[in-house]
This record gives sequence, structure tokens and C-alpha cells, in this order.
Amino acid sequence: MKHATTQPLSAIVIKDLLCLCRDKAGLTVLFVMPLALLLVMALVQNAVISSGPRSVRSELLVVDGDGGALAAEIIGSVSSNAYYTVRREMGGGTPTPEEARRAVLHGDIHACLIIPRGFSDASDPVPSLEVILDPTLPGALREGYLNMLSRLVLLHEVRATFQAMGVEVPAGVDDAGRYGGLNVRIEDGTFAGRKGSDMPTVTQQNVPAWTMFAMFFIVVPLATQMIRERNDGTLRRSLVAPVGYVSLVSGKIIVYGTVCAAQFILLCAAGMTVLPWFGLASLTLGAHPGAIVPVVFASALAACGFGVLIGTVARSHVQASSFGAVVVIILAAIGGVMVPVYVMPHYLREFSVISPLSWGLNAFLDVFMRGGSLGDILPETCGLLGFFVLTFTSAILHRKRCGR
Amino acid sequence: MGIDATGTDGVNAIEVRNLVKHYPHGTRPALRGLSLQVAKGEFFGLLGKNGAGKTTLVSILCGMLDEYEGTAAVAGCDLAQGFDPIRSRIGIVPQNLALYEDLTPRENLAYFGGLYRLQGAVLRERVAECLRMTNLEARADTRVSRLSGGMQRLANLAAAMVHKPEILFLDEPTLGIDVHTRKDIIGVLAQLNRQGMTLLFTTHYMGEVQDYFSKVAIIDEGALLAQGSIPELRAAYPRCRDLEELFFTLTGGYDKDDEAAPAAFPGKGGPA
Repeated sequence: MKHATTQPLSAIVIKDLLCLCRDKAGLTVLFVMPLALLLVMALVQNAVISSGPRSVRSELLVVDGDGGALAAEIIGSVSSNAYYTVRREMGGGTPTPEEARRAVLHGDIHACLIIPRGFSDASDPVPSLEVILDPTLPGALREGYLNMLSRLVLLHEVRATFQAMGVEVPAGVDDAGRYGGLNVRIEDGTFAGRKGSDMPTVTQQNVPAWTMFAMFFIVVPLATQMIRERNDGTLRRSLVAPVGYVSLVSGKIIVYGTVCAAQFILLCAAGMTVLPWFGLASLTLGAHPGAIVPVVFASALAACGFGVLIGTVARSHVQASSFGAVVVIILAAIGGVMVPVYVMPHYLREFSVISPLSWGLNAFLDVFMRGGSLGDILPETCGLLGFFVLTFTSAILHRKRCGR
Repeated sequence: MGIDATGTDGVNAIEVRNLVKHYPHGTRPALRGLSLQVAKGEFFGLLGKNGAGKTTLVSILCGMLDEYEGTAAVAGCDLAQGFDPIRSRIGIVPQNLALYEDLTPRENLAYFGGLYRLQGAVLRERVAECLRMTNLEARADTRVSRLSGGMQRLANLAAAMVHKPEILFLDEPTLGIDVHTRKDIIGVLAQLNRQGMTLLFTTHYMGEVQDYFSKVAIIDEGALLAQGSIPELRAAYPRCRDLEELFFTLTGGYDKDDEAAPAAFPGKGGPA
């Protein structure tokens, strides 16, 4: 007698869907947590990694002990820089150099610039500008301060040199496109000349990052459900029926895979509507948004395969939830979810290639930011599908070997 | 005589010969050469103390354990040839409450019925009938976790009969519930048996069940001590007033942790 496989599968899907819908804690982990993480981390990262004019600028406390024309020129140049805000007061008054140094030491301010008396005078030797930086400042920000100030000083010296020679200062000497007479062209890298996003934003980094995290975090409710069924006897009872273990697990993959797709839609919607409320850029989907579909599909399968493997191998809820969660967090960290890969040290960047979250994130970024289409996301998508096959097969084989 | 694997009429519903089962970390075999037969349509009682081997036997017959020695056949099919041919012909009421506690009895029955490829109107009718037989209609849409222990046991039974199995295995289905609910469960089982279903019922509460058993087997430490109808056993052990006394006589007293042990018995060895 032939048995159709769709009827048991639909019964399994309905059962798993009902169980999931009635698991309030599980739903919170699956939907509320990723939204919260997206919002908080996007806001936190905005000041550090966003590459355009930002709503939050870095502060520079300036103590002008000179008051002369050169000091005013330097202060004016810093004030006109889009990334920095000049602060002249502290605690309701003008700070002394010693007070400024103490403020940096105590972490009240990241950097201060002390212009000594006599700086604008044409004296010899010229008193030095003093730059005090918070030692805990990340390297990139530290270099930003130093480069900004160095450039100001250099431009002043170039102008002073031309003036001393009695030559008119050429127009555009401070043009960003001219460095010592060499022409340098700057452009954002995109696939084969296709137009990508105008500018990489915190939103475009964080939406796919936390989507991948949310998808793989289904390991907790999925594995916990599998262990519960093993412990309470419903799995054994189901296996007495004419249905195989693969069918039982496939039903779960259908349900939780759908949850992964819903997570992606939710976080994209948040990226387009909620993040702009907080002054962040709205999410754009790139020139070929259709290419997102296979990425979501493959990522969801990879996440479900991982969840099934943990649910099969783990012997208790505690093992499944703690081990599964820790592994996902580690894979997320090295995969560029919490911190973009490009700010990591070189040796950690090498590790990122082993994380399936990194593959999914790269595929999303290819579409969102680099104008990638279906062919461009193929390597990462195949990698994710391969990960699913590996984890799912391992789970089935483990069950056959151990009878669990 | 070999196992008849053709499934034709006249074949026992359950036939077990010289069954031996060792667990990897067990100090002794769970089953020691057990042999018994259950004819079609019988209401068969399998009695034994805790650890006698009842659950092990049921697990083997339901295909949950496949490493054993000896022969076992269910519905005329030799289990050594594979379990698939009989999956849709048997049902099990496990000792644990094997239901989804976040689902209602109706949803549980729909799920288990779906596994047996029941669908549409047929499934809905079977679910309704099972809920009616177990008096769960009024609580059919209440989550199992919110039902009383007795109703949970009834729902456990209903889930096993939704696909109308030929043979129903019941592993201590009345464990830990009150007398009234036990009576309800036994009443349902008696009705199923009258409709032709073969029942293998394991228990160590035998007072209210013995009147329904067409045959009984008493096992202890994995071996068969006695098998036969109630009148046959009474004739063989005339000093025993009832099944319970016979059980205690054959198994050498009672478990000191067993609540069912009557206070009148002095201890191991029992009355002569």
C-alpha cells in the first residue's frame, strides 16, 4: 500500500506551528530580541563606523591660550569639519590647560587641543600645539584626530610657504582630490561597474547582521522542542506511526524556516521605518533585490540544519540552549555581526570565513551595498546550502547510530 | 512451530517465543526467554512488579526496541522482517503522558490521526468519536496542561485509538489516577474490546481490571510465571481468592514500595 507523504507532513507542520505560537518565551527570543539588538547596536555603532556626516560628532576641547589669528584659523578649520565639534567651555567656564588635561584623564572628554600663548606670533621657536588624547580611544578615532590636526597644520604651512615666496596661493590647494600634485580618484567598489548603495550605512550593515544572528538563534527553541519531544515520549509515540524521523524533522524545518523568513521581513521593515525615527539611514535593498530571496532561503535552511543537529545531539534542555547559544554568539562575533569584519585584526578576519553567519552577511551586503545580483551571491548561497546538508545529514546519522 | 508471517486468520495477534533482552548497563536480562501468545480479540492482562519486564516487552512489540533475541510477531508479521507492515495496525498508550501539553486534546488527536494518514471529514469524525468515547468533548479545546490528571490519561488513550488499530498496547494506562477515572478508562477499553480490538494491558493494579481480562500472564524478573484465563488460573491455584492474591503468591510477596500491596500480607513469602 502506497502512503502519501504530504498528509503526515502537513499534520507535523500544523503541530509544530501551534506549539511554537503558544511558546511566548520562544517567540520573544525569535522576534523581539533581534529587533532590540538591531536598534541598540545600530545606534551604538553609528557614531563609530558610519562614514557620512553623522548626527553625533566627536568633540575636541580647545583651550586657546593665544587668541591670535593663527589660533583662530585653526579653530575655525576644525569647526568647519563635518566630523568634529569644537568645545570651548567646560563646567560653565573656560578651562585652563591643567583642567583640560584632567578632563581627558578622567574620561570626561576624548581629546583636547591646547594652543599656547605666542603660537600666532612669528616667534622662534614657535610654541608647540599640545594634543591630549584619551588612552582608551580606539585606534581609528585616535588617528582621525591626529590626521585632522596634522592636515590643518600642513595646509597652513603650504599657504605660509606660498605667501613667503610672494606667490599667490593656488586655488584648490586644500582640495581632497589633490595630494602633492598627484590626481587620486576615489570611488566605492561595486560589481562590474554596477551602481551599489550611494554610501554604506550603519543600517545596511546591521539589518543583515542581526537577521543572520536571529535566524541562527532559532537553535534554542528548535533544539529545546526536539529534546522535549524526546523526553516526554511524544517522539517515540510518533515514530510508532507509519512516518519516519526525516519527515518529523522536515516538518520542523518548514516551520522554523518560515520563522527565519519572517524575521528577515521584520528586520527589513524595522530598517526602513523604525531606524529612521532615530536619525539613522533607511534601509535600501540595492539594485537587484530579487537576489535576496535565495540568500534568505539558504540562510534559513542553514540555521534550521544547525538547530536540528543540536537538538539531536544534545541530551538536555540546558545543553541545547546554553551550548547552542554560545556557539551562535561565537560564530556571530567572528562572522562580523557585532563588529564589522573590516575593523577586526588581520588574524581574526581569517577566522571569519569559517562562520556561516559571515557567508550570509556577505551575501546580503553584496546585494544591499555592492549591486550584486544572483550570480554574485552564488558562492555564499551554495556554502549555506552545503552547511545545511552537512548538519542535517549528521543529525540523521547520529540518530541512526545512537537510536536517539 | 515457526512464526506465521502471512497475517491470515487464525493467527495470534501477538506471539512471542523465547524473548531475551539485555540492556547495555543492566545487571541482569530484562527478559529471560519469555514466551506468550495473545489471540485476536482478547483483552489480555500482563501483570508484573516494577522492573518485571512489562514495558520492555511492550517496547519490543511496538518497534521501539530492535535488539533482542528470540522471535516476536504482531498481527501475524514477524518483527525481524521489519516493523513497517504493522505500524498502521497497532496503537500504543505509553506509561508516560505522551501528548503535546500546549495543544488541546482535539489538536493532539488531529496530529496523531494525521500521522496515520487520516484527513478531512474522516479525521474530524474519528476525533469526535474518540472524544465522545472518552467523555472529553466538554474539554476538547482546553490545553492538555490545564486538564486534570485523569482527563490527561483519557486524552492519552484517545490519541492511541484515533486510527482504529487492530491491536492496542496499554502500558500502565491507569497509573496514578483516581478510582473513578480508572473505571472510565476500563469502560472505554471494554467497549473497544467488544468491537473486536485486541488489547494488551500491563498493570500492577489488578483489582478493577481482572473481571475484563480474557487471559492473563504473570511475569517476574523477565520470565513468565503463569499464563491462562482467570478460571484456569483459579483452578491451578485454588487457595488464591483473587488475581491479586495469586500475583503475590507467584511473585513471592510485594515490593515494599508498592502502594497496591494489601496491609494483610505479612511480607515476602506471603500466606501459604
